Amino acid sequence: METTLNKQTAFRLSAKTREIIIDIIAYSFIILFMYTAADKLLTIKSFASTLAKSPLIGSYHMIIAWAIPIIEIIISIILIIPSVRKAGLQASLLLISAFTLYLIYMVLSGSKLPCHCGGVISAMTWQQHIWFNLAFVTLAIFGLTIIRKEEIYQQLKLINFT
Amino acid sequence: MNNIKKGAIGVLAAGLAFGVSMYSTKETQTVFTYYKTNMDYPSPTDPRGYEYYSGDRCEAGGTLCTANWELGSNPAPSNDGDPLPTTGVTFQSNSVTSGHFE
Repeated sequence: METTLNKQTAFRLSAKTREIIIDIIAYSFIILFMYTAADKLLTIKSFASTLAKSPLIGSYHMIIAWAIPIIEIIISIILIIPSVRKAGLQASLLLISAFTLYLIYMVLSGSKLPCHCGGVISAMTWQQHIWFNLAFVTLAIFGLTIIRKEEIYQQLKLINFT
Repeated sequence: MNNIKKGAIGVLAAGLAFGVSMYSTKETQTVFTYYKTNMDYPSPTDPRGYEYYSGDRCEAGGTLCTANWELGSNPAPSNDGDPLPTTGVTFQSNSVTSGHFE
C-alpha cells in the first residue's frame, strides 16, 4: 500500500499548481460557453434556420437552437461553483465531445455544410473548428484526470493512516 | 484562493464573455448578408436583385450567392424576403460567396 502511495506522490502536482490548472480550465470553458451562448441567443432565428438544414437535426432545429445556449449557460454556472466543478467539467467534456462528433460526422459524410457558430469562432473552417474543439476536449480530460488522481491519492492516504 | 474568490472570478469571466459577445454581435449587425435572388442584375455590387434570408440558402454551382451590405441608416431586415434597399447601402468588399440561391 505504501509503495502505491509513494508512486502516486512521485507524480503528484503540488496542491497550488493543481488548483491553478483546474481554475484555468474551468474559466476557459466558462468564457467559451458564455461567449458562444450570447451569440447564439442574439441570432437565434438565424441559428435555428441553419440547424434546420442539417440532416442530423432537421425538424428538431427549434428545440436544439434554444437548448444548446441554455445548456451552455447552465454548465457555465456549474463551473462557477467550486464545489461542483468536477460535475461541470464532466458536463463540459460531454457537450464539447458531442459538438466535435457532430462536426466530424458532417465533414466525413460529405453533407453540405451549413455555417453558423458563435462570434469570431464562425470565421474558422469546419476542419479548424474540429481542432479547436479537440483542444477543449483535451483540456477537459486533463482537468478531470488531475481531479481523479487527487481523489485516488486522498483515498490511499486515508487507508494508509487507518 | 478561497471558494468565494474563485466564484467571483468565475462570475466576472462569465459576465465579460457574455457582454463582449453581445457587443460584438450587435456591432456587426449593421452589416447583413443578402442573397442575390434575381440574376437579371448579375453584378455583385448592384444592390438590385438582393433579398434577405436569415438561414443558409446557398447551393453549389454559380458565382454569386451572397454578399454583405452595410445598411447605414436603413432599417435592419426583419423578415425573410425583405429586399436590400437600393440607396444608402455599402457593398462590403471580399464578402461575395459563390454558389446560387436555392
